[in-house]
Amino acid sequence: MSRSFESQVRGLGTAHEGLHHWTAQRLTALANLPLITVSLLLLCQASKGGYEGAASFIGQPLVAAWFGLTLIVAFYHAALGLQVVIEDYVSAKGSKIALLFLVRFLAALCAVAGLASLISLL
Amino acid sequence: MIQAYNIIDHTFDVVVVGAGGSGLRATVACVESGLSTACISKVFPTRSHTVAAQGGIASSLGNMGPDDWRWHMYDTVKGSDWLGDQDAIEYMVREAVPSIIELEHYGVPFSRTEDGKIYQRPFGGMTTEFGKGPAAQRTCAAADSTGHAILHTLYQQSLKHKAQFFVEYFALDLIMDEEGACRGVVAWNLADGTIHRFRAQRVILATGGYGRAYFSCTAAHTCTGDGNAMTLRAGLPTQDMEFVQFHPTGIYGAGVLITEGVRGEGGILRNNSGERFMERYAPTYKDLASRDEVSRSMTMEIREGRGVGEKGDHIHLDLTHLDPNVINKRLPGIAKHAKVFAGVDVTKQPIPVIPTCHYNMGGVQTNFHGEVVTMKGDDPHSPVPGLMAVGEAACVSVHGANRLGSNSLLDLVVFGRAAGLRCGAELVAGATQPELPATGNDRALERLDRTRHAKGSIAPAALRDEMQRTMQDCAAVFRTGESLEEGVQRLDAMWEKKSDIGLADRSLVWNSELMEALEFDNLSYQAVATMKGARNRTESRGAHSREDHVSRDDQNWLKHSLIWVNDEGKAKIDYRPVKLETMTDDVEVFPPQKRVY
Amino acid sequence: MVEFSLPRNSQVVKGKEHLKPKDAKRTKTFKIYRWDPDKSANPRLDTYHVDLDKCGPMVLDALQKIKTEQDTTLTYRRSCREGVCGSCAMNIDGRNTLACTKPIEDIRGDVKIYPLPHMPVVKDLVPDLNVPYAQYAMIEPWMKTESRMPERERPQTPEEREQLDGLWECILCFCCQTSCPSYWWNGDRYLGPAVLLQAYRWIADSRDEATGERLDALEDPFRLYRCHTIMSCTKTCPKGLNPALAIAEIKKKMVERTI
Repeated sequence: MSRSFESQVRGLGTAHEGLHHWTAQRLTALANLPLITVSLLLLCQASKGGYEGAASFIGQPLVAAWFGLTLIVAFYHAALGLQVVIEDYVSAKGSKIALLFLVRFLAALCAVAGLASLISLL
Repeated sequence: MIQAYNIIDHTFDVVVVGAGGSGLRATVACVESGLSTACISKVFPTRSHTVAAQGGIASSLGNMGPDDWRWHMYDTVKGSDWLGDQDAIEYMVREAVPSIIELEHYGVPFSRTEDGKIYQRPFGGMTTEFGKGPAAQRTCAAADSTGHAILHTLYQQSLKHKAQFFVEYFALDLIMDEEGACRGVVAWNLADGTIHRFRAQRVILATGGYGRAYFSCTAAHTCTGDGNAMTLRAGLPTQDMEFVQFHPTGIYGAGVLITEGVRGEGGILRNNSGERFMERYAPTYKDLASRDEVSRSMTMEIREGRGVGEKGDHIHLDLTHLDPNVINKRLPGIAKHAKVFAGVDVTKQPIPVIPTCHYNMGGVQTNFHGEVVTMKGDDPHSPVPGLMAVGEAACVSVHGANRLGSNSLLDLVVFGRAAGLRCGAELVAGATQPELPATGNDRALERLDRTRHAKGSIAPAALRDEMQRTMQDCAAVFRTGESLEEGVQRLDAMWEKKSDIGLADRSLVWNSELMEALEFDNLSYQAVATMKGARNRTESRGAHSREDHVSRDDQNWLKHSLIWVNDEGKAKIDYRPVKLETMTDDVEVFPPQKRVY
Repeated sequence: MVEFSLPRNSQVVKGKEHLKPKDAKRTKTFKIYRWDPDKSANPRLDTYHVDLDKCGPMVLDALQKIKTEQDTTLTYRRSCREGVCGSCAMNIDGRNTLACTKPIEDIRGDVKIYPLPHMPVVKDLVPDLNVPYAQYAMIEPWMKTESRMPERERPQTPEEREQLDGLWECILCFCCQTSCPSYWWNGDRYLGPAVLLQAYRWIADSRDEATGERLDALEDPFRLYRCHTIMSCTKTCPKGLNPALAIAEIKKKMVERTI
């Protein structure tokens, strides 16, 4: 490499970013604790009455809202976390951008699919 | 063969050799003056030995009680056993105040007093009212790692000023022209094995002391006085090389330094009956007498059978009566050193200590601007154009026959700055420099090449060991005509064998065997200068204690010795009078007195 | 892409075994990484046996003994031999530390010595540290002030000064830096624990007046936020410092200025 060490470490400068990602990751992690715990309890409850019973249980507005919120927060958190993994371990620019896009797209797709299912139960 | 070296040329206004406290301070001052400055160092700057300085830096700030630079001056003159030049000492102690404030402004994390000022502790030989008052609290401290704090801060300042560093470049020799002026320096880049010729209007040697000439020393492995040796090889003298300070408290066995600040904070030296024996030797200042005095007293105790340990060959430094909070706050590093190197918990057990080779008062002869001077005809102050020296490598002389603790860091920053300011005042930035003499680097390359390809039968490390043991046996705390004569003969024999060394590694990239061989060669010049200088001085003064000449002899020996050592190991000695004159009229000369603590 | 195995030309092969010292009662075996830049050979692990009865207590003492008596070509950095200069940082017995303060006694079995991990090797145990040095310079580790320079020292209370304890003692040995997996993967962009600790040293200094500017320079997904609190840095620091805590403090400051 012909670039000086100074040039190497300065790179493209600072992105003035990262704080939002860092706080969001931690806040969503915290939020996930009650959200997922309660969701699991609700699922147990829902599974008691067969498909019909479950569908009507989940179709209650408050329950559906709870699941909806959990889906959004959990997939957001997953996207944030996977982003870190990709940034950590993938250094080739092309694959990095592609993977980051893919992860966000898949997370959004999953979340939206989940929300659509919930809406169909209402 | 010699053509095989890849030589790269550089031109700077100033080249500083060495990146310890004085080298960095000089570098910063030169860059601030607008001069293009290169600082070359065989180690990364923060690894220089200044980093190991513990106790502090003296300055009559008066933060802890009344103080005056004149008192500091008196103490330094008395500490030097009147061998110090009083004009230079006046310069140093007066500059001490602004220099320390400047360091604080640079960001040195000094310990603080309750009212937010720099904390100052007592140190050996530092008194008030011209030695009549109580001990002075004059030594500014950053816990017990003041050298670390200062060195890192100075490196940070050099970064701020974008000084140009050539790190892990080993300086081989000075480039001198036919008129005897210094024109540059040749260095070897360890990282890629290239040879670099630095042409400069001024070369500032800041290469430190040569503690490693002794078997047991507080100095780092890298303290090999390369600048002193380069100066000797350039046909210039070194001054007062017989004066070698033994620090009273090196850890027994390991040689690692335990700061005098421990005694400043209340630590006490005890013999095998637990007696505070310093009361007998220095009734007024006791454990805080000057280092030469304390080292001699300890050696006397051991000799008279009052040493501690199985062999009765060392002394205890007792801190157990100190408040553990004081130890945690003020002496955390020492507590760790004692734990690691002596297996001692300082709150419960005393530290085993022994006087250990610590500091070289001698070095390259300079004036208080840092300019190297030499004897020309009858004039002992004839300047050597283009060459300066600062720090432990230099002998200004402010420390005379014995340096006071915490005056060393002071010496570094005051004279490092002075040399830089001198360059700023006298040099024109970017001035055209004549071509280097055609044969300027021959000597350096010939020496490098000869050592690198040496095929003899003796390992340089074995010869180094022989030299170190000779110095330890024959030129330690106490010396006699007999021991010094024996030392001279042993060193002469060692010198003979130098032509039969052999190396295994012929590479150029990070060939540490070759570097150590060259460092040993450098040490050998200084060992000879020390031993022959000591044999020659038939009196006892400061750190030079002759048992066959027990008293100071101002009649015949109130003078500096200048010693030349040639490539055959032969020495020539001449003299220069001590400057018994002050720099200004603000203080009067302190005439020689009897020295009692 | 992260490399989880060494490239073929970096794989360490078995090296030379040096003779056991004669008449030694208590010997210790040292296996030391060797690589010579002048040869195209792979790095190797040479074996040496050291007579502990004739050797000082620290790993550096053993290295010195080997270099003096058995193999003068063995190359490593060393200087102060008392744990204050940071030269002899290396990987000993699987852990980054200073050879001069690491007792041989503390190591069970053979002593394996490698250079600091994930740095280019110049020769044997000498790593190329130019990148972390440049990163250190980049955080502008010097006092920055706007206010008028007082004639005397800037006042600082003992409590304010205490904020610097655990920070200013760093010796830049880079044991922590090179023990951090995040630095291994992204050392070109992540500043690493040593440099971030130094950055915090200035943020924490009550005399410094450029905290905002310093935080600005760090606010970056790579420079700062590659720290995943793995804590290897704190575990390995031979000076007992806590770089992970310093990094956490920087992150706290980042949050603090938004609320």
